[in-house]
Amino acid sequence: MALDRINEQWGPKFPRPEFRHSTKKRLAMVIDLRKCIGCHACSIACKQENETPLKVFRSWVKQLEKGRYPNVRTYNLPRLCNHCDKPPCVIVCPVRATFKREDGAVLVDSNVCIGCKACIGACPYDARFINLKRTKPIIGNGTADKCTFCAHRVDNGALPACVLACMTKARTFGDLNDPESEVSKLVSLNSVQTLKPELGTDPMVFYIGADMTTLERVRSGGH
Amino acid sequence: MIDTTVQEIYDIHPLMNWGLIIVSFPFFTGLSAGSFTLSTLAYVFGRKEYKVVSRHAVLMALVLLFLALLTLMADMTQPTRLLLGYIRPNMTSMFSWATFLVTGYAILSLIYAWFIFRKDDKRAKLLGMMCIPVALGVHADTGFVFGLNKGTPLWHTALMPMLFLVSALTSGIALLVFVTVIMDKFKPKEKKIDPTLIFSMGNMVVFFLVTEAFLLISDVTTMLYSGTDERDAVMLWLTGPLMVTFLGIEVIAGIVIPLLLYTHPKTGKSLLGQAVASALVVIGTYAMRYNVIVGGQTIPKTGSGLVELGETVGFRVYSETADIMIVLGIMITGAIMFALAVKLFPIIVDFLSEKIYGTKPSEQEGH
Repeated sequence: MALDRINEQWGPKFPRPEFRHSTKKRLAMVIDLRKCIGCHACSIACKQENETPLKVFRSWVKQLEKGRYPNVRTYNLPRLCNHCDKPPCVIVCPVRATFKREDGAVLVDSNVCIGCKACIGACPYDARFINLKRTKPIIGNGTADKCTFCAHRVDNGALPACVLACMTKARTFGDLNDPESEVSKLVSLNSVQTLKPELGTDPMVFYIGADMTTLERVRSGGH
Repeated sequence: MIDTTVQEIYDIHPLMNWGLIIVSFPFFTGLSAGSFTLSTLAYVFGRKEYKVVSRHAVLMALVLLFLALLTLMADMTQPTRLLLGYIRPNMTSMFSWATFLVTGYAILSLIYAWFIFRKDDKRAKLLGMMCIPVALGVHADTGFVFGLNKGTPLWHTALMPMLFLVSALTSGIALLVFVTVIMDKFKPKEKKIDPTLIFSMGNMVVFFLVTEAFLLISDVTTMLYSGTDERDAVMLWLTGPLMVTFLGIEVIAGIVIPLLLYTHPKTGKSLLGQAVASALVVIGTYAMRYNVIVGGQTIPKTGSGLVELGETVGFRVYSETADIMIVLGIMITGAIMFALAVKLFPIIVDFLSEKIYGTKPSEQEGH
C-alpha cells in the first residue's frame, strides 16, 4: 500500500494504546526533592546534550521561596516532560507527528511536524515549545520539540543526561513495570506526587516530597 | 496559599505561541461561514428577496476562506508540510478534522458559486444544502480546537464551539451589511438595493448578537463561580490586562453600542447607522477572538506571572509589529481580491459556460 510506504517513510504509526501493569517496558523517572539542592546542573546538561536554542528549555528547575524571614525555605521542582501515559498532546496532532513509543516515551517526529502548535496548546505542563533549529525542507523553520527522556541515549544503554548530571542522585530513571527496578521500588515505598493528577494524564515523572506550592502555579508574587 | 508568602526565584516563562495571526484565522473562517450562510437564504430557504445580496455574499465567503488559509500558512512554521494533513490524518485531532472540513467547504462553495452565477437555481439549492453543515462545521471545529484543551481553563468550556459559531454568524452577516451599504453607494440610482433588505439583515445580526451576549454571560458567570484557575482566567477579562479588549471593545463597542444603533428608531432606519453598527460588530468579533486565544495563553500553565503577546514564535516572527503587518497585509489582499472577484467572477463564469454549454448565463431569459 502506498499509504503504508508513506507512513514508513514519514515516521512511526500511531501507537496502540497501552495498559498499566503490562509486562511491557514503561520508562519513568522519580525525582527525590529531599535530595535536590537546586544547582541547575540538570538544565545545563540537558541544554548541552540536546542543543536547545535560547529562551526554550527541555528540562529546568522551578525554584520558589516560601515564608518570611527567619522562617523561610527554598523549594525546588526539577521539571521536564511528564511522558504521560495518556498524553493530551498526542491526540491533538493533526499529522500524528507526536506519538507515544512502545516503552512509553512521548516523542515528536520532526520530519513530519507541520508546526501548527496544537500540541503546545494541549500540553497542561508547558513542556513543549517550537524549536527553530529543527528543520529540514526549504521553507519553514522549526517544529515542536520537547524532552525525549534522552531516547537517543536510553536506546543505546545510557542514562538521560539530566540523571547522569545530578550530583545528589535525586533523579532515578528506569522501567516502572519491572518490579525489581529502582524506579518501581521508589514509587512503591514512598509517597509520591505527580503534576496535575486531576487532569487524568497519568504523568510518568514522580516526585518524592513535593510541596503543594511548587506543584501549583504561583498566584501571588512572582514577577 | 493563605497566610504564607510564596515568591518565585526561578522558573522558565513560556512564549505565546498563537499570536495575532492565529487570532485572525477563526476571524476569517467565521466571517466566511456567516456570509455563506446568508447567501443560502435565497437559494436553499427560498427567500428570493436576498438574491441580490447572495451573489456577492458567496464571493465574499470564498475570498475570506482563502484569507483564512493564508493566515494558517503564515503561522505554521513548516507550511510546506501541510499536505501531510491529508496523508496522515488523526481522527482525535480537531485540526485534522479542520483540514478535511475546510477542503470540503472550499470545493463545495466554489461549485455552489458557479451554479449561482450560472443561474441554475435547482443545483445551487442542492449544493447549498450540502454545504451549510460543512460551513458551520468548519467554524464549530475551530471552537472545538480551543474548547478541548483541558489544560487551559479559559478555553475548556462546552460553550466554546457554540460561542464561536454564533459569533461567526453575527460577524459574517454584519460584514455583509457593511459591504452591501458601501457597494450600494457606488451604484447608479436604478440599481440600488431596497433598504428594507438591509434592515432585515440588521435584525438578523441583532438576534445573533443577543444570543452571543447570553452565551458570554453564561460563560463568564460559570467561570467566576468555578475553581481558582477558572476564576483567575476570567479575571483577566474583567479586571486584568485584557480588560480594555474585553469590556471595552468586545462588550461595549462590539455588542452594546451596535445593539443600540440597530434598534434605535433613527439610526436603525438609516443606512449609515447600519453600516457603523455592523463595522463595530466585526471589530468586536476580532476582539472576541483575541480575548479567547491570547487570553487563554496569558496565564502560564505551571509557571508564575503572565505571558505577554509579542513573543510569538513562527514564520521567523518574534515581534508583535511583524504579526500586525502580516495580518494587515492579508486583510488588504482580501479587499483587493473581493473587488476583483465581484468584477471578474461573472465574466469568468460567462466565458467558461459559453465554452462548456454554448450559452451565456447572462443571456438566459427570466432573470
